[in-house]
Amino acid sequence: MAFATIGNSALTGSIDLTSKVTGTLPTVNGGTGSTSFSPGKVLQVINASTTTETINSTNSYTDTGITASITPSSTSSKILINVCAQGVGKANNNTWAQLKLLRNATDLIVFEQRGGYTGDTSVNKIGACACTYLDSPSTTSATTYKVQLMSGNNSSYAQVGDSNPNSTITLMEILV
Amino acid sequence: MSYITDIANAITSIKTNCKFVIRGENKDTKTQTLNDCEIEWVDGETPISKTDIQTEMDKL
Repeated sequence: MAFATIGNSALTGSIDLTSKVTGTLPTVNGGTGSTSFSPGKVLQVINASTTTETINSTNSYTDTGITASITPSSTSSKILINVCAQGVGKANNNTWAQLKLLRNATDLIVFEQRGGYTGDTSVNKIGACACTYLDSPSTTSATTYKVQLMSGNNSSYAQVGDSNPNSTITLMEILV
Repeated sequence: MSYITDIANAITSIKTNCKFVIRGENKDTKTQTLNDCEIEWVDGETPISKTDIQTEMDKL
């Protein structure tokens, strides 16, 4: 099986990869048999941070200020979202912090289900909660991603941003 | 602990299970006031005055 053919004239000096290397990569060596490739590329990166603190004593979600917007260049693009919500915790009473990621008004994932849960009335500050999510928004319109918070047990409060941290959200448009 | 957390603790000290949301920029606690923060009373909760919250904060 031929792997590739390098023209004799290319054996000395520089090799012209654009015209002197031909053939296909054999699958046995980890290739795909393809003669061309369309590798994934990062087309744009959006990053935002906030030092906003949000406290919520109810089991209705509220915005945290962790948000960023991106306008995909193609409907086939994927958006890779990295979130780091800092200063997460709960107060006294038996509750916990619940965090979810949204695209515009659409729920994507609850990425912290029982933040700081202790099962009792002790205060518990747990620090950062992170999330990585690959989204397929199928749009070329401006799209906003954000994090919301609620107090899981609707008693006492849960919080994000305690003690002056920087929470961040990074959006990467991936060409696929 | 942040100034905003102090506000929340004062509110829950006045009324346990009070329904509220607080948002604010986390800054140097010495320079912050209640007016720097947004307090939203939720689910028909009766608002507590900033004066009463401040009085409770001073006690805690």
